[in-house]
Amino acid sequence: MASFSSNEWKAVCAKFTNAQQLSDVESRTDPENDPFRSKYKARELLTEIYCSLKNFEAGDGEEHDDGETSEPEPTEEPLDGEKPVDLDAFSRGWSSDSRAGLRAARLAAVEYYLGVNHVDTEELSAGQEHLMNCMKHLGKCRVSSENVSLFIHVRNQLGILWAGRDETEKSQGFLETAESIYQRYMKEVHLFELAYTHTLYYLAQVYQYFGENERAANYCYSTLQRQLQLNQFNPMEWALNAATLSQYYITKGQYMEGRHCLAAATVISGLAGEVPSEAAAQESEAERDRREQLKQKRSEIARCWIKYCLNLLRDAKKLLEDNIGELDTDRQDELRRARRREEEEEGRKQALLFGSEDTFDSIASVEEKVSYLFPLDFTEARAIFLVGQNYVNQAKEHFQMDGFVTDHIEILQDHSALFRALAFFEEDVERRCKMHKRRVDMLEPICNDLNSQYYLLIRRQLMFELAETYNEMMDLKLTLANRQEDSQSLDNHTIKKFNHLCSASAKYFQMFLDSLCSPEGKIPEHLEEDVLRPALVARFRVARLHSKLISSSPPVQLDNLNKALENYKYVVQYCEAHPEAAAAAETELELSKEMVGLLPLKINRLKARMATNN
Amino acid sequence: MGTGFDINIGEEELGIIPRAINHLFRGIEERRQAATEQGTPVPEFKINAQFLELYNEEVLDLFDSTRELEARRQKSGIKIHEDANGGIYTVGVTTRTVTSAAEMMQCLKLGALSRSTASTQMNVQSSRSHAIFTIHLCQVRVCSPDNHENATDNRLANSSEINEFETLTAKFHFVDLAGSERLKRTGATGDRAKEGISINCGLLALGNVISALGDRGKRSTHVPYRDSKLTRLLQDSLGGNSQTVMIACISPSDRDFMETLNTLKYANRARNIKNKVVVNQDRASQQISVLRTEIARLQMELMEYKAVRAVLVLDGMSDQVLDPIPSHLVLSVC
Repeated sequence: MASFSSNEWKAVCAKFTNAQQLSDVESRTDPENDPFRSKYKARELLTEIYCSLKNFEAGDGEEHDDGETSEPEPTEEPLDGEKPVDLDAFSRGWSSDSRAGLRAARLAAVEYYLGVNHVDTEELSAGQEHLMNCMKHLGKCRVSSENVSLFIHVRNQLGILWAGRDETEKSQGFLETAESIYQRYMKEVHLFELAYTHTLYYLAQVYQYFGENERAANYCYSTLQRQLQLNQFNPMEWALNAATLSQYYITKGQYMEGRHCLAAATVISGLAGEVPSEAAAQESEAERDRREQLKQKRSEIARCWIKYCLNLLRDAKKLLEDNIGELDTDRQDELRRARRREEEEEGRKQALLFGSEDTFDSIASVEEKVSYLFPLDFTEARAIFLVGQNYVNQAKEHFQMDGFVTDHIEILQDHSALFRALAFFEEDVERRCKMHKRRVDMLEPICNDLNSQYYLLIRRQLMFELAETYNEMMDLKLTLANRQEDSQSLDNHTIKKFNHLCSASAKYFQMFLDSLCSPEGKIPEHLEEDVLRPALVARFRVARLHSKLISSSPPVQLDNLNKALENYKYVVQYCEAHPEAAAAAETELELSKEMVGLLPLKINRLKARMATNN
Repeated sequence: MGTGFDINIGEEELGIIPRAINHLFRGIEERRQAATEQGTPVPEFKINAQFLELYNEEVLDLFDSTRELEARRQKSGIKIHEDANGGIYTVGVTTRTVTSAAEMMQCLKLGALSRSTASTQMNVQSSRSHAIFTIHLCQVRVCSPDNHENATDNRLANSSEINEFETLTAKFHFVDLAGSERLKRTGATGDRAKEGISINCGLLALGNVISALGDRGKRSTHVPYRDSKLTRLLQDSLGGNSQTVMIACISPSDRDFMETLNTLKYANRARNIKNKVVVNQDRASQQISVLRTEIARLQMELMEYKAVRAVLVLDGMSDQVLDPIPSHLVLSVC
């Protein structure tokens, strides 16, 4: 029987090497008007190789070394990824040592490269044909450590090809088969491992592409985990990816997973080494860049941690609050009982586990510093708050105001939000007030320092938040006052404080409203969608604040009531003129209508009293 | 960004950048002319251009022709700074002053050439980098009385004698996004970008997949963006003056599919970066609850008042009651 002489075989191998060279290296420098020149050349060579293999070994297909039947058993391999896969089929067929097996595997390999070649030159149908031929040849072989990588590679390629045609099921079919083959026939071959990592990665993309985020997230996790296991990762890159993945889990309320991702991110980012010192940075540009990079990326991770703490506090609040936004002690008890029950049972099993021998412990120790459970009282909330605050300080070290205004302000806004969330858990009204005061002290100076042209939108956010915070404080003072016997026995000092808070809140709401006006000071006829609700709410609040101001002077009282009425009227009139706006501020509209009906009466009575007193 | 450099092409066939540049200089000329004709002080215009390339978060100055590429990369010294007064600005970037449309097109050409030369030397596709061409426009003009219609400035009385100058500034960013050159046509090996699936051997794109999983609109999470330098350069345009307009140039041709897709994706992401004011749906807040109580109280007062008023009417003392009450509120009987 004809077979390759060693020279002929060498020639075939040389030709193959040449084809690879053309395809991988020389194609990069192909001219733009003939971009596939090298690939076409490579294709010719591969086709020649295929013919050689086929011809030289022709007629041998029926002979086997190990006495198996002459016909290969029909495989149950799905040709288009739709039929279920019987993994046992992969252990049938020609062994890779047999001549037939070797020939089939070689033909399969060449078909594989021809397939990839055609896909590279945008001839998808031809590419598909070659890849399917590869599958057919492989179908006659038994999976072995030598050829399993090819079994997986060809399915990876077909998976991508079908995904590109929007055929998600077919794509999934191929990729999942690849995954199953790997799991079944695991071997410690390095390239093989890499192929599997890629399978996971492609699956992540396929699922994300088709909106199945949960599965995509799982495959992202798997990909990251394999990168760690195989030591194929850039520490900072990996850490950022893990931190970003944590944010996905946070939006789903899966705090255990989120925490684990963040802890892993923290530990792995440490592997990137020390931040170069200032001195080193001054001496060399490279060191300076490295310093900037490391500081920046670590600060980004800190910011992800801040969001963890913030969301955990906020979600806990949602669980605990009653219908007026205060802590419901019944719900608190309920949740405490539920938690105790869970602890008594198995306790939640950890679904995600990153790391290798050396990192497991470090990751666990970072995790221990913060809980993943919803805080149910002030002590627990404060613990989480403090972790968040710590990361705020870390992040601010790099994202300083001078140089990173936008980032710096976002961090401050998060800090303010942490205080706000913590205040919910604080029972003592005075202490709550102090927390809100911290927010004001943090944001007020910034708001006034920013250039109003460049930072228009950020300033609006700050103004609105300051207005709401002062409003909160005012309401708290009111609560305190109402607890006293008689609001008329409020001393002057308290009244002054109260009025100050009232005015400050109204001032910032008004500033916000003014920022919506044209440069000439004209009120907009039509409010953009982005600002519609805030504008209506601001009007509503300004109205209420004016009616709450305390004054012993009737003319002042009258003025305040008139201003209040004016703003309530605006809300009603705007919603009449723009019916679609009503949905944006239902409650405010309803109450404004009431007030528009009732206030004139109050105003007239005041006027009457003023007249009779004169 | 690659078309329209040939000045022999007719106006209709020019790309957006040449058109914009021509429009700009025409506008400048028109304003100068108008002022000359009216005998008013001619406004001064200063136009600067910068051309930057961003590759893998490195910033390169495309106008910097003085240094060797490698040296340029290693000693970039370019900083993107943001401060409370000035918004975003760059430090260490060559700024060319330009006085005509032709001059500006020339700048653009040189920068583009520098970009592709650099790419070849780096053995990297220029399609991987972003390029940003920025035009700064500054106009110093006299404040005309027309600009102060609603002002109560009493200096207006003598406006013809006192010339108040005002400075107006504007920025234009022209961005050529990475991935927008034909990857397939330059034969990039092993890195085929397909619709949504990227076969990137270095798994660098994993980050893109992960960051796409979260909820973009909400601000409850922090996503360290891959293109952070690009976003930073455009930041004050995105989060600042609401007069910002972003024009994304896309093509109906399927050959340009990747470019179009990438551009739209970026534009969409940029939209979500915009800093909105978020107000909670405080339907059930304590404030609202307290307010409802107040309203209820006021309504009670009103009922009581109406009752008293009715009594007074019946008692014949109505002429002593001064405040007018809408007739429908008068009770006929108490």
